[in-house]
Amino acid sequence: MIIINIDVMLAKHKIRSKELAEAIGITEQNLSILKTGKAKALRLTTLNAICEYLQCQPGDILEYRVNSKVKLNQIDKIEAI
Amino acid sequence: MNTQNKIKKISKTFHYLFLTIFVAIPVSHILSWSTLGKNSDLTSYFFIFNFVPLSLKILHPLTGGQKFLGFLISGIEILIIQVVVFYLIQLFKLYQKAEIFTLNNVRYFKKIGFLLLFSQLFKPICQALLSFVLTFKNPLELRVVAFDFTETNICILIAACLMILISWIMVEGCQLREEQQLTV
Repeated sequence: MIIINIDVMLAKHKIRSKELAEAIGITEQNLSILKTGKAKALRLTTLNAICEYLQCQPGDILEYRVNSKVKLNQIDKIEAI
Repeated sequence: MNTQNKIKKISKTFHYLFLTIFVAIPVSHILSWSTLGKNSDLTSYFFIFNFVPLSLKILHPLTGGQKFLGFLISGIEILIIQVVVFYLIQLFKLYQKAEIFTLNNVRYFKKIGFLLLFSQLFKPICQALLSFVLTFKNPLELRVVAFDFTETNICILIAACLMILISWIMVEGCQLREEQQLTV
């Protein structure tokens, strides 16, 4: 699953959520949705605005982690072989 | 936002309209049965709801017992209509708050659809019972058990099926709305 590491970047740059939300033109509520991992989709324009403001790469914000369920299924498959 | 304001405005009108109908139906039902007199003209009131076939002939003044039974039997259909109107009131209340693609709306659409479907399947039974009760005092050869199934019934059945279909479409709409809300 995709993890959004906005909190880490905010702490690094010592920026508050409210400031970032205002700067990139989204509501604090939407930013909270992003931070808590409830977002179903992220617009490229929003990602672009975040990277521009925080002077970072998309890879600094987005991280892929293998889902624990998927991991267990893969382990089961390997054991079956 | 302009469309939303239009929806809110018109929904308010419909909300009050259905509230009025909700009160008017049982009041007129009680009044009509209590004032039904000799050589009763069924078309004046019953025509609205088509409780019995219009060709039904009542040859004797209705007794108190007949009126009471008639009131109860037609009351079942009235109850179904009242529940439908109640759900419509709730639906337009939600539209007034600009809640359009929500699960509550879907539930009301579904309930209205199934109630309308059920009412048309139940209607012939009601009509048959009512016609028997109303013609019970007629000479033996003129007592009837009658029901009809007209184009009005077919229209209501089609409307019911459409409401159920719309409720399924609304479920898709709810999912799209949820996705849109969670798109940053």
